[in-house]
Amino acid sequence: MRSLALWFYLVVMLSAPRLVVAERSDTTVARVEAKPAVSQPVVFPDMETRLGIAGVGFVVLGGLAALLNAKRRRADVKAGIV
Amino acid sequence: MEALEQTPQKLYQWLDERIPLTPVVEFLSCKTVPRQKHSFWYLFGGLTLFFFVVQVVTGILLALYYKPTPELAHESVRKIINEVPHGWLIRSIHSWAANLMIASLFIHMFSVFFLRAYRKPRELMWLSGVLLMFLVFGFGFTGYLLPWDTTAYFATLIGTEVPKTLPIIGDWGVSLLKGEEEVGSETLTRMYIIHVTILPLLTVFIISFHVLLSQLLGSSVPIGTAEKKPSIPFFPNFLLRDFIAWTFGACVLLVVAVLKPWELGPVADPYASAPVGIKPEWYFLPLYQSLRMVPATILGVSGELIVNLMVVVLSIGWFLIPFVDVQANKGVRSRLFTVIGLGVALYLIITIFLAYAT
Repeated sequence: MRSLALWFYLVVMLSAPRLVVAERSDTTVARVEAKPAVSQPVVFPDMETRLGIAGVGFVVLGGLAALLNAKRRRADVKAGIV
Repeated sequence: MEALEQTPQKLYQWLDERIPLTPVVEFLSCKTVPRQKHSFWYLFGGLTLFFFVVQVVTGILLALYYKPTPELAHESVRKIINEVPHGWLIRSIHSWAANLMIASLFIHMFSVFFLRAYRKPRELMWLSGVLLMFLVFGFGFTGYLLPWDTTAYFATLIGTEVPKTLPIIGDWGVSLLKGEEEVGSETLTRMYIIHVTILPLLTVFIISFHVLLSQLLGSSVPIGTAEKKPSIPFFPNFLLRDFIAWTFGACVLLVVAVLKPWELGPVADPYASAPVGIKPEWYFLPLYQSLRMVPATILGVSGELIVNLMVVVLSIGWFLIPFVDVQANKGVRSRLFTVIGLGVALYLIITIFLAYAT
């Protein structure tokens, strides 16, 4: 239970600030609102970066699934479910 | 160190003196889930709920930057993707989780149907579940317009024309939704308000009712299926199984959201013509394909009107399944309803396939 709580704490503390706060100023907002509606291209990170993110996510979530499964096995043995 | 270890117990005692937690904890401690060969299907309800929670969290993060006006909507979404840290990922997760939620919802609904889990005393769970399905479709429809790109604009323009053929409520319903003659500023504002306030409030209320019933009534054992002994305790054994399923769901979501990020088309131009081959999202394709397949008129009656009336009648019929399938309440699995369920599922799959293929 403690290892799970520590895991969640680390993930939340490392990712939360970057998700909520964007680095922008009021002048940027004013410039955006003054512009006419023009199609600008959207740019995603390159495939290598995305593969890295997917890989890290896969490993982290896979680790979490393994932790939970180990806990489930212990709980099943304790409850007499074979 | 000892004080730190005792903190959770002290916190529980403090809360229990102010909110009666002990009866709830005792109830959950005694609750069990039947073990039988179809127990796997019990996980999809919780998985749908998990994807809904992901929608709420990512939706709130997107709403911090989104601007619901035709002049700024597209640019604000572009900024979310290009300039907000991880904005592209949050938006991609939000869009993909919507699709995965609907897929999981369909699996959950059809598994409940085929296992006859809607029979007495779970009729209200079925009714609230089907209502939730329509609310989720509402989320999909209203959210689709918000990026204000070409596809979103014309898909909404076409989508809001379809219900007009319904007698009495058609014109009134569409004008309520659009707020003006054409899809414009009023429409975007209304779709945004419906998407972020009205639908979430209704959905949270009905989900709470649905989950409460599921806790009070427990899981149904399919007709004619032997229950293995012993049953699984809900806490912590079945809940851990739920968490494992949610982790797999999160993994699938993250991988598709990262490897296939949700695109943003060019900004909508109301004066341009609709793009060739424009199609709605896959969960609206059965209706779209049905409208394409039906002739313009059948015996002098508009084909579109016939399809709309069929949808209304079939939806009402689907709602009333627990009350129509009287054999299920007697513990008999009716072959007719199995055929009906298979027919509906196959029709949905085939029309989705045809819509993509043609």
